[in-house]
Amino acid sequence: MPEQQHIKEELAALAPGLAVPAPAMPFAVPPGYFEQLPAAVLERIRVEQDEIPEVLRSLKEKNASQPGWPFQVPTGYFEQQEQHRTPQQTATTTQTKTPVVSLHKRPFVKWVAAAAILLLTIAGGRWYQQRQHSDIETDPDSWVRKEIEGESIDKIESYVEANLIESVALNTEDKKEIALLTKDISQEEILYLLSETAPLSTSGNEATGKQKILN
Amino acid sequence: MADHADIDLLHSFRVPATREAAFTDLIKKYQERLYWHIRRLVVSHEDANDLLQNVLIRVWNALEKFREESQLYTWLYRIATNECLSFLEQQKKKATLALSGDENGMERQLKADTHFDANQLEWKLQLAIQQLPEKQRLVFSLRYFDEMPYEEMSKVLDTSEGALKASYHHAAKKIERFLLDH
Repeated sequence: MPEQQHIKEELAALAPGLAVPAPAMPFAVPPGYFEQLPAAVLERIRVEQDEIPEVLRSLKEKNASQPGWPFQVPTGYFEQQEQHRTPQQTATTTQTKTPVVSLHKRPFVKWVAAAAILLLTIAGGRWYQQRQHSDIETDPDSWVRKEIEGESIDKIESYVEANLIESVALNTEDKKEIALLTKDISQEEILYLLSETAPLSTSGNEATGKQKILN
Repeated sequence: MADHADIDLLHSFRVPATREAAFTDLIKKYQERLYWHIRRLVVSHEDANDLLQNVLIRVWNALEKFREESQLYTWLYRIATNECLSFLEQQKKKATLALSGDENGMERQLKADTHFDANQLEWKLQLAIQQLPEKQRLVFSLRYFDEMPYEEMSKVLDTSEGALKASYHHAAKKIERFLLDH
């Protein structure tokens, strides 16, 4: 054969020390192994496929047309059952049937839904308004920012000036107490202290100061 | 393309009434070639028997979908080879866990065989084959014992013909050296 010849020539060139054709296999197989192998394999296939024994399979095939096999009912049993049902039984069955009415056929449902939506909208609006008012308590800083938003700087300044003066206006008792507390402090020292602790320093850019308030 | 006898066999297999008979014929036709191919790779008869049965069950499950574009025996060899390689891989993992010695597991198995006579040329050859790396052992076995053309072997092992020729060349050289030295 050409392939055998080719292999022989190839091997003679590669490794002349190797015998060609291949020597007999030194391995042995148990007697009758190859004769029994097909049956053994088919048996394993049946087991792995979980096949039922032949006798049970033929019985099942034979009775395939009988759904209740191996049990039987008297001839005409199911037909008689149908005939024995009286007209009253049929009517009762129809009456006890739960009626199904579509939601679209109930107009009051639409009105209830509309009222619920309206109620929810009003309640939501009220809640939002209340929330807006309470902002001054929970977050005064944001509330102030929101209130002065869009107002001119001049208007804000004049408001702060007027209200600040008003807020620091002292009554007679306060003036007496301050005089008592500061009687041992010289006028220069008080002025120096006031200049050092001024709340809004004007030493920098005026615009920057305004920006600080607004932002 | 499968040969005519194989095509007839495949057609019979597709008919439920003749399926088992067709499969029995297929086993009878290819069992010995497949068995020796497996046995040369795994050495022990018990392992070879288990693997061959597994291969044939796989064949039973997949034969209906086999396309007749390729040779049936090439397809069978491919399944058998993959089964053997998976088995050898598992054995290697087990050996790594169980043994600390450097002796080749296959060689040990070969020497444990009751028929083993280290002086016989056939046994020396088997011993030499067991020294080879797995791929070279596979290529040498398919070429030297099964006389498989490189073209077919390429389909079985999914390797280029050039790479197979190189593997066979190295394997033959190593075996020759082993036989001369022992």
